[in-house]
Amino acid sequence: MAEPLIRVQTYVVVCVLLVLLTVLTVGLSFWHVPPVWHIVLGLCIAVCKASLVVLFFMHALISTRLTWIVILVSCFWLGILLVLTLGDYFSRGMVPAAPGH
Amino acid sequence: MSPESAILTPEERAVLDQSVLVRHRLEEQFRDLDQQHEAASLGMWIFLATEVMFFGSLFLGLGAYRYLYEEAFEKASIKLNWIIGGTNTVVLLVSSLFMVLAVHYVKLARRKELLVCLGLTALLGLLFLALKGLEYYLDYRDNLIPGWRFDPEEWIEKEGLRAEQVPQVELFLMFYWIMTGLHGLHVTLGIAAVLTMLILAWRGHFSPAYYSPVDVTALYWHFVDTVWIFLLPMLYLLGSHTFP
Amino acid sequence: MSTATLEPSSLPLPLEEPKETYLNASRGVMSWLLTKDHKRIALLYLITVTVMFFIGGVAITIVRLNLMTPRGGLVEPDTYNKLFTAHGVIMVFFFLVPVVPTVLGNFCLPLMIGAKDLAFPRINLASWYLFVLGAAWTLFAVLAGGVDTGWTFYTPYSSKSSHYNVIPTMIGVVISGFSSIFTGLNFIVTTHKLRAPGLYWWRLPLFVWTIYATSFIFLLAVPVLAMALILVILERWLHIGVFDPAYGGDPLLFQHLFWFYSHPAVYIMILPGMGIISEVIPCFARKPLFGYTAVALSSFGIATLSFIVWAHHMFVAGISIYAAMIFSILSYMVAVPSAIKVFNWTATLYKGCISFEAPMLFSLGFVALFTAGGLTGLFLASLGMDMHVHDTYFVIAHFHFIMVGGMVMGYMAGLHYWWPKISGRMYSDWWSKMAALIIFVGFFLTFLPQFLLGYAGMPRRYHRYPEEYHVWNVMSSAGASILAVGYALPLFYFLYSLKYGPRAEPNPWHATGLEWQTSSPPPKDNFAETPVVVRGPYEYEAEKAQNEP
Repeated sequence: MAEPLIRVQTYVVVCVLLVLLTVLTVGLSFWHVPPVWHIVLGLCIAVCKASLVVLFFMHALISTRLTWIVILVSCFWLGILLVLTLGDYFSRGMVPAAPGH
Repeated sequence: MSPESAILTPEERAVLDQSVLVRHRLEEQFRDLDQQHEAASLGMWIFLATEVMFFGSLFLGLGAYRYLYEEAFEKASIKLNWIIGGTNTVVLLVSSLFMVLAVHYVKLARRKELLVCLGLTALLGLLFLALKGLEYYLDYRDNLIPGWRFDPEEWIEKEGLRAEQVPQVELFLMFYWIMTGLHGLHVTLGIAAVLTMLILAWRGHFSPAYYSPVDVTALYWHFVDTVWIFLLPMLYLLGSHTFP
Repeated sequence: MSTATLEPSSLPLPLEEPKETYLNASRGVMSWLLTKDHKRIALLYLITVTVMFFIGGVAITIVRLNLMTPRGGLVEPDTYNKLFTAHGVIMVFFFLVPVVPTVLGNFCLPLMIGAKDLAFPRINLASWYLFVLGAAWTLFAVLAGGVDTGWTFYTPYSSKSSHYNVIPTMIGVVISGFSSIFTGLNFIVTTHKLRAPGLYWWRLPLFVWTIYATSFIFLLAVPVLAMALILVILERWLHIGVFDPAYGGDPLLFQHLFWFYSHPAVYIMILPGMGIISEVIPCFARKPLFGYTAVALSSFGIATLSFIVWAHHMFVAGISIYAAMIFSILSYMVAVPSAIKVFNWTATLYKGCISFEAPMLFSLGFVALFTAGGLTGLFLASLGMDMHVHDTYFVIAHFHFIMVGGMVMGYMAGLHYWWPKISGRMYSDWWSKMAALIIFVGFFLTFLPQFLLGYAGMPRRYHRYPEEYHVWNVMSSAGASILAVGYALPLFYFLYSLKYGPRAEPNPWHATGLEWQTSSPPPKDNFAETPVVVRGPYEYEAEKAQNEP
């Protein structure tokens, strides 16, 4: 149970990567692009960073299948909440103007 | 002789650790410490799943309103202090490093390193809160508190927003305060947990055979860090910044 | 059976009380209030939810009395609103959602998997304390001023306009939500980690499957409700406007967050009931459950699909027509796993050796009423129909058929089935069958007229109505009084049985399942030694084959 399977160097490298990604994400915010790109890029980088934290710092990489299921299920369920609700918001404007709408 | 005595060989110490711990730490519903540890970890992962849905609801609200009120949200977002926000991100990331190193060292029975790492984690957590407090003070000074310190005129004149967009700015700021406030509350609870682990580790409570409270605290701490990883772009980086 | 007098020596010896049970393992009030024993915690919950049930019942009694006449007038309109809100809040959050998981789930889960206790006994006790705190808080809010928003708390009325105790009510509900989260967490970890040797997933009783699926829903849905309510609390308290149109806020965002929980919540309520039926029917038909795998997986099907249908509560609220169409189709799909269960229960009964003890009577009532109620759900899932019947008594009848006709009957079935195990006593056979019958009749009389009322256009939550709805309303109120008698009866004969009922043997129903392999009531540690499981669940066939020539 107690043998560490990830070395200290790995943790440090991951942390450095995380800091670099942070610098990148803040740096990109100075790029003058349409705002939607800020969200898209920002979230992509955030997902990368979060994945590094979950895989290495939270030891998901060396965890059981059950832990993986918990992680994937929670991401998927958050996805359900976001996709179906935002889907409503995005499609409200899609209705062609009609009487009573 | 005491379990910490250097006269024991590491193997003898491990055996003694195990038996003492099994008597005192093993709960009666579990077969052995391994099963207990697995249950504790699974329990924490499941709890974090509930927290994902909890914070996720706020991200949903922020996302929906950002979709509806693009301009107001963009202009409000760039008013937030990205310097402190970015610094705080790095602070939490480094604190996460120390937290995982603490778990690493407890598995190796290196008590001194364990204490240092736990201490640094807590310290960086406190630094995060301090910087957050500073940021909140600056927000107060800059009239970014809807319903309390907020100047609608400023947004119409300086930012060029229309009158009906000003409440949308307030909506954004409400989400900013609620989300960072809730996150700050979680950080505070995390620091309390880490300090508790520090005290228990000082007292020699943990060993390679029994360290699940540290493991579980670490999972929580990393989760709090992960939430902040998403808060940074969604709150601070919605619009294009220009160098000050 | 011969009518000759039996010799005293050939009569079975009266059962002695097992020497040490969980009931007498330790004495004193503090041994109960600080217990870690899941069985004692189950009883603590039993007392709490029963109290809440009757308080919720009192509220709706006054409502139905007011509805005896078209002009109403028994109470002020505002009071009427507070009463149906109280009924909804108390019944949903403090009875229907918790009752089967916290009472029967807490008691039976460790026994059914051969464990000594749940994985986290102290968290289990904390769950109960949170529940009591939440209940007390909400009751205080409801009794000292009341809240009139309806249990659905729609904004902006709840966040801006209502003058009543919205915040304390919501705080109470949020606290009870955390109680649910801890319970769900406990059940899932327990099911994964503490199963007895040989108890593979496919050997688990269906009740365990459904409790697991229910816990799954708890964990993923409750946090969203908690956040929705917290945002309304903040909005009301700090006068900010997350859902306020004046700030650009969208009331529909609240509804999305609210129903994301509250729709799966109704599956939280029904799934454990379905699990009970899956235990009782095989036992009293002396046949293995037909289609075990399908029924087990359908529990997960229901749990999963329940999360993607919530906006069918919002068809007329202003969501986009495309979202409405998608949610409508998905709502049709969620009926499928439930139907699978009904078909399998029916197939279990076919060619079974059926006996009609109270648990079986309640179970049969469940199947019939749940099916009827479920079918009317399909009416509501259709966009065209829903336009007409949304917010009418049709909806009320639909969910009461499922909640009361289904879930409460399921709970009664479970209570009657496991009472000998919990208390060590048998209750009166005749009175229990009478209660089942009275409940069934009272139920029909109360809620069938409501379908007709709703279809004819009577809106819900109205304290007065046009003359043409009078007859059905009177029928409904009359039925409610019969239903009340039916619910009061178990209180009497169960309490009576505690002192005067004959002692129960370890397995009075000759059922399969690990919980029946220990004494009634069980000892504190559940089993003398950890059981080892070598056969599947529901092996009633073997017994039947032995008894046949």
